[in-house]
Formats: sequence, structure tokens, C-alpha cells
Amino acid sequence: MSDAVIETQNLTKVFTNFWGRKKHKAVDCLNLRVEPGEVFGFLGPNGSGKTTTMKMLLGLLYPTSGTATVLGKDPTHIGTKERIGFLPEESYLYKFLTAVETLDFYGKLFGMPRSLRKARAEKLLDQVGLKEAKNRPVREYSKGMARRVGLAQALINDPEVIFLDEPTSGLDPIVSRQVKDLILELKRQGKTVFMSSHLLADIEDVCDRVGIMHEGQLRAMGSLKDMIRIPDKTQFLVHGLETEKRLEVAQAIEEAGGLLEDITEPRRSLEELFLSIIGKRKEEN
Amino acid sequence: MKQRLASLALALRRSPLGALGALSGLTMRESVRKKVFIVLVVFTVVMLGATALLPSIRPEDRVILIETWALRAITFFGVLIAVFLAGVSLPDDIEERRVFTLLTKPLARWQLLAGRFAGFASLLAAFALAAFVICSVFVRIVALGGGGTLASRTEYAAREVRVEEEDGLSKVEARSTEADPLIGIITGGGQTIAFWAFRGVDLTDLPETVTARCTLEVQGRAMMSFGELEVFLRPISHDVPAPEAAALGWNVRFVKEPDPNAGPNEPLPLRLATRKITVKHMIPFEIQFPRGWLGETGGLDIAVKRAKPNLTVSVRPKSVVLLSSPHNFEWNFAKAIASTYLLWMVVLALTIAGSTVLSAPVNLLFGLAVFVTGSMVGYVRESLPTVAERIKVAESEEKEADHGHKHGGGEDFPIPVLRFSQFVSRISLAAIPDMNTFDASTPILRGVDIPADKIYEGLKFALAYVVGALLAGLAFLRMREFR
Ligand SMILES: Nc1ncnc2c1ncn2[C@@H]1O[C@H](COP(=O)(O)OP(=O)(O)O)[C@@H](O)[C@H]1O
Ligand SMILES: [Mg+2]
Repeated sequence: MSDAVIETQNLTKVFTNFWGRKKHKAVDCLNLRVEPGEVFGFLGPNGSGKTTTMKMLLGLLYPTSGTATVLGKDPTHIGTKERIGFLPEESYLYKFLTAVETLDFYGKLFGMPRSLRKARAEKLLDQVGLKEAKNRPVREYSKGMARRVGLAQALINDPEVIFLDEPTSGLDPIVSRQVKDLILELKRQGKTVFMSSHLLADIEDVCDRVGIMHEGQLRAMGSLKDMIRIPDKTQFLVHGLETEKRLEVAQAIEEAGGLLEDITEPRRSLEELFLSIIGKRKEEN
Repeated sequence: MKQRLASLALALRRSPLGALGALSGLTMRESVRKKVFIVLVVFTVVMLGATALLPSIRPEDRVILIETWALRAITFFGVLIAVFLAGVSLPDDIEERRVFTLLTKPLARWQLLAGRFAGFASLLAAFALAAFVICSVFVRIVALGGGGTLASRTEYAAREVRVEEEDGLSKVEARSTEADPLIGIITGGGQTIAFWAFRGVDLTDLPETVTARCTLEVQGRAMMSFGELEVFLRPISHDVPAPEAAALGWNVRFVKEPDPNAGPNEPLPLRLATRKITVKHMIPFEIQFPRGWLGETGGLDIAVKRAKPNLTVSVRPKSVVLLSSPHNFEWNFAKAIASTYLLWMVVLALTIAGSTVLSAPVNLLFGLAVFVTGSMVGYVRESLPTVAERIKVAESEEKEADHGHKHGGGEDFPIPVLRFSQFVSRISLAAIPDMNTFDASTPILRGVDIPADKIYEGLKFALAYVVGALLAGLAFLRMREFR
């Protein structure tokens, strides 16, 4: 029962003002359970309490009531921090350090030996596509580049559980795709990922299970496949069917008792189109 | 061996000190990258260059003046680092939200606090070292160019100070406070004698001809601020070099006439050396005598009597001190810098602690206020006995008034106001660190060694403040949420 990676019970956070008066109920009686090896998508509009929940799971905010455990321990437990990684909503970095130095510094906080720090930093910067710029101070980085350093620092300790707060926000489609691929790669490695987003496509692309937040409350939770499946509807995707034959197929369906709603040509997502165009350009160069 | 070192390094890195070291290393790196350190060193050099041009009357004052100025400027620069850099580092991390990534790594909150403290403490240590080297070299160069002597002396104080009435005609009013340990004020017309009993003075640290520095407050009648004093040397050893003392201007005699029938092994009676000296109010004078007068145990009484009555003399424990042989200037300056470093640590600990609750601008004000009020709190301490006395006087006057004696009261302020002022002074004395504890420029200005126990006192004081402030800061930080 308690082998869940993340578990919350009636987790509630009320923000108060300086005088202790109630200002805002950001999270309201949240009950969550994230199992090992799953990619959990925390979906909700802006201001629905996703970041607040994540901060409570990381020990940065203390719950007003209810409990949260990460890897079976209280979020403030220092030992747990060895096994988790966190990418904040925006990447806040020391601007006077280079990307390599940033990762080296965070590696030191884990007590990693120098050789290991160096190897990890090289590998991660390569993975997030910052190989060329790695020795430039972070001050000179664009938002997307800083985000990638942020992602790399979250993975410096090869964590078992990774918290990603809006990992693709503010990124262009290419980087966004890379990040999503990285998340899928982490999943293949058996890591648990807890990610929040308000971008439906992102969640849809990578998550196994989702929870939908609205105004601090969890409105729905379950397996993504089950949730977006439309029961008693069927879709055929057929290759090479001539236009004249369509009518016959439609008839056959009606004879079998089905109700045909629509026949269309499938479309590529804009993301796929964009990536293929950019990809082609890159190959030409 | 190498393997053991490597495994030790690994153990250290994995210990709580590893993360702490990483953070303090980051602090150092930041100040180097932001050119803080180099700017400070340049400032120090420029400031020293400017002091070299200071007009001063005597060349031997020039070196001392440079030393004191350098020390004060360095103190101030260090305080600026402690307030303006250290005081905003944690608020910056919080404001810029880097604290999210820091605290989701295995970095405990105490390590965050201690790491920043250690980082700035190391930075200040590096600055102290650099300042010491720059100033020493500079002062040596100025001294070479005829800037005066480069030495300081230890002041040996008397073990006991006493005022003896010989005939009951004179009056001794005694009053003593912590800030101003006054033994007595001699007035009236009698033959009162004050003496400083030196015992166990380190003879190896004294020159052949010993100098005693006398700082007596002499007040003549009718605003005449000088008078004549009679000074005595009363050795406790029978065998003292009489001719050498005579050569230095002393009248040497036996306390009682030697017995002509005494055997050859019988010691001669004790001797006594006297001379008369005219002194000006508050201006120290020096007397010199052969080292032999301190015997083999380093014991001698130096006594002072008024040549004519109706002179007022204030007698303090350190009114008469013996000066040692000149000591190495660098060692004394190093002690001064060490003392300054302790002052920085107090300010640093307070600003770091303050930064756990205060926003950056408020914390800057807090840090500056601590330093400025801490530098002035000495005056409050000095005023406390006066206030206490005024309350006592006012109270006794009130009592007399109750008994029907109508006196014009000498006290302008009502007693409750005085009591309130006393209360506020006591509170501020308890809460604000007294920066004068670390003041090294006064001894340097007087050309005397900074006593080792002053450094030790400062160390104890600083340690208490640093530990207390950091613990309070940690308590705040642990409660704190990061929104
Ligand atoms: N420090 C704070 N003080 C007061 N209210 C806050 C604070 N931080 C967040 N909130 C409120 O809590 C709610 C949830 O915020 P947040 O968790 O950041 O949402 P999300 O990450 O889903 O966009 C919002 O309505 C926000 O206004
Ligand atoms: Mg958010």
C-alpha cells in the first residue's frame, strides 16, 4: 500500500497575509497517489494550485492541513532530496556561472566526486543540446537555454523521482519536443515523473496518468488512455482506399448496426508539420 | 597514503561539510567574478596613498597616523562587505527564487545559513590578509623614508594601587566605575601618598633603562592646571644600582641610616629615590630609572605625593605603567587586524541572521544600524553611573524635602524620567554589541601593544554573538516558507 512514490492525504494549503488572515485557498483536500515508474500529468489552468502542490511535495511550503509523503518520507526529509530532482517553473540560476559550473556546483551539493560530476555534466549538457554554449555564463543565455540548464540540473544526481513544473512552457516546438522525448526516455529508464502543465498536448504526449486540477481541487484523475477514450465509438484508419469504395464501406458499417458519423482525411498535427519542415532544413545545411 | 587522502576527501565531501563548502566556495567565486575583491584591494591601496600625503607635524606621528587610518578604513570596508554583500545574499537567493533549487538538493537549511556565513567569513579573511600585507609593506616603506619608529610597547600595569593618608589632613574621595576605574581624588591640605605596586614584571621584556609613563590628572588651584609632584621609587630589593639612578637625576638615599656595626653579610637598608616633577593637566610625563631597581623579582613601588597641598590629583590603576622594550610592529598590527576581523564576524552574523526574515533593503538598514549604534553604545555605558548618581542625589533631596527642609533641588529632570532613561540604556547595552570591544586603533595611536587579553575578550564576545545570532537566524529560517 505504502510503496507509492508520492502520496497526499487531504493536502490543503491556505495562503494567509502578514497578519495571518486567510487570503486564498490554493489547494483544497488533495488526495493523490503516484506509483513507481509512472509519468503523472498534473493538468490545470493557470492558478489552479499545481505549483503550490509541488512546493508542498518538495518541502518549500508547509501544508495548512493534511499530509504529503515522497518516497515514504516527509517532504522535508534531507535523505529524500538525494533521490529526487526538481525543475522549477522558471529556471533561476546564478548568472555569473557557466552551464558547466552550474552543474558542477549542484553536483557538489550531492557530495559527488569530481570525475563523476564532470562526466554527468558533459552527458547532460549534450542531452539537452547545450554542448556549444556550455562554457558561456548563464547571463548570456536565452530563456530556452536557461530552461535546458534547469532541466540538466534537475537530473544531475540521476534521480528516481523527477518533479517538472511546466517543463515546456516558453519553449519553441523543437525544444519542447526534445524535452518530451527526454521525459519518455526517463520513463524507459524506469523513473517516476511528476509533471505539471496547462498545455494539453504535452500531457497527452507523455503521460500515463493524469489528474485535473481546478481552483485547488482535483476534479478528475485516472489513466490517460481510459479518460480520453470515447466509449462505444470506433475509428478505422485505412490506407489506399479509393474514393468510390468509401460508400460500400459506409453501407457495410450501417448494415452491421453502426452509425457512421463522419468520414474525413486524417491530418497531421501542426507540431509534426513544423518539425518535419525544420528537420528538412537542418538536413540540407 | 594517496589513497587514504582520496578516501578522506570523499568522506569530507559526503559529510555535511561538503555541501557547506560548496556554498561557501560559490560565495567566494561570486565575489571574485563580480570583482568585489579587487575593488577592495584597490581602495585600500588608494586610501593608503592618500594618508601618505596627510600633513603631520612630527615624522614619528606619520607612521602611527597611517596605521590608525588604515585600520579604520579597513574596518569600514569589511563592514561594508558584511552589510552590503552578505546582508543581501540570502534575500537575493529568495527573491530570485534560486532557493527553490538549492533547498530541493540535499542542503539542509542550517547548511544554507552556515555556508553563506562561512563564505563571507573566508572572503573577509582573504581581505584581512591582503590588507595586512599591503599596510605592513606600505608602513615599512614610509618608515624607511624617515617616517618614524616602527615599534609598539607593552604597558605593564601595577598589581595594586593604593592611596595612603599619612596625617589625616587631606581628603580622598573615591569613586570607581567599570568605564572609569577611579581609585581616588586627592584634595585638601595633607600628605597623602598614592602608590603603584609593581610585582612580577617580566624583566626580560624591559630595556636597561626603564620608562614609566604617568598619566595623572592634576588640577591646580584657581584654574591653574599644573603643579609640582614628588615621585618616589621604593624598591623591595636591598641591592639596587644607586649611582645609575643618580645619573638619571634621582636623589638616592637610605630609608634609614646603615648600621655601622652591621656584619659584612648583613644587607644594607632599603633605598629610596626621589625627584620633583612639574606636570601639566592631562599631559602624560615619563620617568626613567635603571632596570636594576626592579630587583630580581620585578618588584617596585612607584609613589606620588603632592609637593604642595591644595592640588587635586586623580589616581587611576593605569595612571602609572611601565613600558617594555620596543616590539615588532607587524605582530601588533596583526593583532589589530585580528581584532577587526572579530568585529566583522559579529556584524556578519547579525546581517546573515537578519536576512532570514528581513527583505534586502530593510536588512541593509539593520546591518548599518547595528554597526553605528554598536560603535556609540560605549558612551551609553559611560553615562550609566552618572545617571545612577543623579537618581541617588535626586532621591535624597526628595527625602529631605519630605522632612520639611526646603532645598532648591539640583536635579532638573523628574525621577521617573531619569529612571526611564536608565532603563532604556540598560536594555540597549544588553542588546547591542559594543563595537569598542574590538577597538584596536586607540592602543595603536598611543604606540602600545594591544593586550592579548583584549583579543581574548573580543574572541569570547564575538563567539557568543555569532553563535547566538546564527542560532536565532536558523530558527527563523526553519519556520520560513518559500512562496
Ligand atoms: N505566495 C502566495 N500568496 C498568496 N497566494 C498565492 C501565492 N502563491 C500562489 N497563490 C495563489 O494560489 C493559487 C494557486 O497558485 P499556483 O499553485 O501557482 O497555480 P498554478 O501553478 O496551477 O498556476 C493562485 O490563485 C495564486 O494566486
Ligand atoms: Mg504554476
